[in-house]
Amino acid sequence: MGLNITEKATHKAVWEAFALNRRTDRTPLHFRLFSNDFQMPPMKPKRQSYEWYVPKGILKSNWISKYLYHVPALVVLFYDLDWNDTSWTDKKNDLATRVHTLKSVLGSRNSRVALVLIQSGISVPGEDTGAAEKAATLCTACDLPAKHLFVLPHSDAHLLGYTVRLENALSEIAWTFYLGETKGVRAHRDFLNKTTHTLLFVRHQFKLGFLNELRNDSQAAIKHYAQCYHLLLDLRSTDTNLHEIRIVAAVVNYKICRLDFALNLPRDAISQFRRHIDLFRQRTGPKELIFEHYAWLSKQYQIFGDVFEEAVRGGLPAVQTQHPGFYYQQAAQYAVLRRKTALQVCKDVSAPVSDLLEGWSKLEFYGQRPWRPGKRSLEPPEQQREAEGIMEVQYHEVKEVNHSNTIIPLFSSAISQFKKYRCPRIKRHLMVQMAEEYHQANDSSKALTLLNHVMWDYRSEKWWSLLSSVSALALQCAYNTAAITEYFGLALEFMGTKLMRSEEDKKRVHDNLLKLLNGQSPDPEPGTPPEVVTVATEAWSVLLGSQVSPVTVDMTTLVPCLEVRASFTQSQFHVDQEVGVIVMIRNSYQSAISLSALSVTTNSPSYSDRLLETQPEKLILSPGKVTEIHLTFLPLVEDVGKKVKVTGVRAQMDVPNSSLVVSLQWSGPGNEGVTMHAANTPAFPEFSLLYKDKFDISLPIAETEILPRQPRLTVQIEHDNTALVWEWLPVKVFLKNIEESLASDISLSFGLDPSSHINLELATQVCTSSGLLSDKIGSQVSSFSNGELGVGEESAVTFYVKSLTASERVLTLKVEYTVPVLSGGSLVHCPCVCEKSIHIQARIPFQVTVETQSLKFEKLARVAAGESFLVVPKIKCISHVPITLTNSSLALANEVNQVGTEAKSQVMNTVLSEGEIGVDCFCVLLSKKATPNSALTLGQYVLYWKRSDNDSPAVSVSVGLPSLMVEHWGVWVDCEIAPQGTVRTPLALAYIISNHGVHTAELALNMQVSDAFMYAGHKEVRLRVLPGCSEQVTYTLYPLLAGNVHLPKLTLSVESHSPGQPTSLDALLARILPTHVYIMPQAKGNDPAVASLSTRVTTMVVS
Amino acid sequence: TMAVCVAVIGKENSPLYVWVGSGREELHLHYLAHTGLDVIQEKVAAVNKTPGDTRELYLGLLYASEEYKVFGYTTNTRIKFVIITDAANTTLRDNEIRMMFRRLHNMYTNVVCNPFYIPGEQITSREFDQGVGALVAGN
Repeated sequence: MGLNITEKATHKAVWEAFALNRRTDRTPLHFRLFSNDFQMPPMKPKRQSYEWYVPKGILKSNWISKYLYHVPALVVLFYDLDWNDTSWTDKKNDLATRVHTLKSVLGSRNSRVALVLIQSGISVPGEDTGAAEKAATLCTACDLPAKHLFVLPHSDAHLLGYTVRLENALSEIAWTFYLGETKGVRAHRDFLNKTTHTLLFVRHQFKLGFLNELRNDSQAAIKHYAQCYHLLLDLRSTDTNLHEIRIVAAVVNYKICRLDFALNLPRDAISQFRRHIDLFRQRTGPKELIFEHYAWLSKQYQIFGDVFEEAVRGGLPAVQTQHPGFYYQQAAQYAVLRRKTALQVCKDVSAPVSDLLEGWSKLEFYGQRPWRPGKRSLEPPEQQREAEGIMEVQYHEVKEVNHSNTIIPLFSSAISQFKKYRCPRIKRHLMVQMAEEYHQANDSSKALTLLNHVMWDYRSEKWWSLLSSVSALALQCAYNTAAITEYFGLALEFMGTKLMRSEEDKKRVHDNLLKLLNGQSPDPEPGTPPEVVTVATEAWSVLLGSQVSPVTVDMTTLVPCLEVRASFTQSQFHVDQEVGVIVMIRNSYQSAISLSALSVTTNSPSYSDRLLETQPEKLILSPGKVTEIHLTFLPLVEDVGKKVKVTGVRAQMDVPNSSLVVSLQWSGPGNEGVTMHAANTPAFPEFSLLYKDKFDISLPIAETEILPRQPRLTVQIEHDNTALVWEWLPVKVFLKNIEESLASDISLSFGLDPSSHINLELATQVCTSSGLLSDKIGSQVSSFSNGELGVGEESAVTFYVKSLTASERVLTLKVEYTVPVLSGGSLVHCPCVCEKSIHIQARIPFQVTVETQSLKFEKLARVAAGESFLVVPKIKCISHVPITLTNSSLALANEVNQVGTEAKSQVMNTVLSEGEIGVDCFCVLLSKKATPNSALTLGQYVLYWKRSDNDSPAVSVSVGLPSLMVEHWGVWVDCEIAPQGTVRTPLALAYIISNHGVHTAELALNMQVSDAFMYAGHKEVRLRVLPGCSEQVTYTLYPLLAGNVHLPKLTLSVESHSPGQPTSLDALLARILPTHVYIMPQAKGNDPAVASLSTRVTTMVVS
Repeated sequence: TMAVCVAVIGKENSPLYVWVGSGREELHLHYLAHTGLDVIQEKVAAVNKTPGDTRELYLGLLYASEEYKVFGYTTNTRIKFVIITDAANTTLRDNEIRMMFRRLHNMYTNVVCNPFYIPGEQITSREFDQGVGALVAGN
């Protein structure tokens, strides 16, 4: 008290810091703002002796609220006073007076008093030495212990921190009050005896528990409450006081469970609750008030559910099999049982005469009867009054209690819990029960909404027993609310075989449907109360009286008595064929059902008018049979290449001269949604064979592809399966028109299959004969127009394919053309396509190796500038067919020239078969200007060739020539000698030694002796050759032997050599000088054979 | 009797066979057998998270109401068995329940071995009926 929150802002802030927005981690305290003139509840005079005292009940109903709200544990007086206040003494005295007044108001209650000074300045310790002294005098003046004086500095920044600390100190004081009170209660106990005061034992333990709870000692509180519960059970109970005992037990049980949860002992809480229920479940009380027992049980479960839920919100983990939902569920079930028993026992209760229930809600003790309050006797009470009282309770129960308002919220709580703990099926079961409750409470539309949610799952899990029961209720609700669409759907389902209903029942429902179709209200479901029937009939007649908009029933969500399967007869149709659709309808109702129309919808609306059957004789569905309806349509040319898909089946039910039209709508081919569960489709398709009913196992063809018209143009392709790399392989295409009319706009596309690898695409060229000379040749020839073909005409086209790598290729030929056909009554140009593909394996036709050789046909890797040598390509054929080499030539680098202007290819027009080798030869001269000591790339060898057995053009293949090292020699030797000599006939031999260098060459020449010759000339000589000049050394040889004989060997060595020159010229001489010469035997007579031989040898040496 | 309800439930949770003791609330027991699937599903899912070991087929007590106790069992082919007993029947030990399930499993195996039985269909077999009768009678 002492805070003026309406006028002083600081006081308001202090009050709010204490009392508002308290977080859960702060000490649980209850604050009240007292005005200066508050009053305490009066205290009863203290009893001197308990000897003659007989308690009138167990727990007083006002005691708990007295200690919670009316008797303060601590009164805190707030006062604005700074230590250095100018009128310190006056204010001190004022304060003392106030404290004294307060103490007198508190009277003999032990409520503590504390004083809080609200100070504006912050006192710095040590500076204000007068503070301690002033505090002491203040305490003395007010007669308060020093510990009960506090200072609250009022600065905005830390107010909350100060209040929290202050609050802790204050609650300590408050707890001493409760400790004092418990001592007071204990003191009473000594006066009690066990014969008359048993009720007081219970009451005292409860008080001790409660006070301990108030002083935040949960352990002690539980102990006392448990003791209390135990003592309570020891009380003798009869029908007279049972109600009081169980109400008190409920309170104590609630306290124990709640504290157990708070102390994180959920197991203890649950077992306490179990014990509680087990102990009281059998104690039902008087039969006339049995519903009170169930009401009590329901309440117990509900309260425990609430306590449990509160603990879960506080962080307690709950599991699927143990969570508050189970308790709400049980509470709801007991609430239902309560109403059921109430209606049974109070069947013929009449309105009471007197009002014995007056003051029921404000009795002095918990759980007593209002007509005999405070009566403490176990004797049977006054018979007459008791009976009247019971009757009034009964009357109240059935007439004034709205049971549904209790039951529905309980189901709702349970449902949200079961949803949270992943129990969808229990949740559904509860929803059914809740729907039943709504139905009882005459709220059929809510019930129907709930049931619609549930039924889908029962259908898809095929729990027909559950669906049957739910469906009956739903049908009833649909009737009550005149929900025509639902009514129709449910009725069709009701009539099916899956619902376990009698034939009479099904017939009754069918009759109702027929009535509806004729525009009459259906008959009420059996057991509908008359007042509901009146309302429902009214609703139906209003509905049917007006123009009824067409009713569409979504069959996909039901397991109805009519099932459909719409299927194309094939999965592909050519555009000039009629597309067939078969609709199978199975009627599983016990008698025939007639439809007025049946249609199939596809993704293309243009066929809708063809996919319609309206002949009534075809639409009579015999019971238990499958009716097949065949529909056809001719596809449109625009749909070629597209897929036509069944998107739905629609059946129409109506009766002539009735405005009501009902459409039954299936999506897809009829096996989507839960509809398919109506059929006995095998769970394992492997066992389909064992099924006899085609309807159940047939898989509808839901979509069909519209193909181009079947072409009637023959296409033949002629080609060699094996191609040679580089060649133009001809592929001949022959077309013949066997259509019945002119084929126009013929266009051919030929090329590498589009799925081929990119590398192949780059290594393949395709062209027509006219495109052979073109530079830009790709791997495709597209839309090569070929005009038109009359009936029976033929034409041929040749394509050429060049493969640049040896691998397999797939080439496709596509022939497109149009022919006029009749479609939908008009003549349209129908495109036709035929495609063929061919495989070609390409292989390398030949291998070319090129050698360079000296004029002596020896392999050569180095060559001197100005030297002539040979280029010899060898062509080895590995082709499977003979090839013809048409020509060959050299494409030479600048430094090399071909010797002889008319040099011709040696392999021209040579035909090679597999394994054969052709050798070409060219003589070339290396220019003198060639850079010495460098590798010289000679150029390329170009070979023109073709397949021998066809007329495709020759193609050229270039092969790189090997490279050679260029040498430079300062000294060069030429030899002049006749190609042959004759034995014993002198033969002239001359060596011309030239100096190509820039220095004078000093040479030592040595001519060795030879057995085959005698010779005349220098054997050993020194020569000096000036730069750019040459010297000639001549010999006359006299051959001694015939044959290819060794010439005398010439050696040259350089005496004064220029740098970089080898001193010996042996290597060069060995390469360029002839080593042998043919010597003929002396002619004996004029032998022609010898003469011809000598001419042949001459040619050999030259070549 | 040992049990008041015996149910065989297919792999897609549809009932293949439900036996309810005579004089019992048939619909209520059907609901109980059905709702037991919630707990079975959770238990099976929890086991599947830790692969490797062969699974215990007997799932134990699924849940208990004031009147009934619901027990569950699942085969490796995801066929579920549910047995419901009276909550008042306190003499029944866990081992006996386990044995009942094992017998039921054997009986089911015999049904499936019948070449005329199509797996996934409702079980209509006199032998199975008799077997269940013997099972619930406790002999």
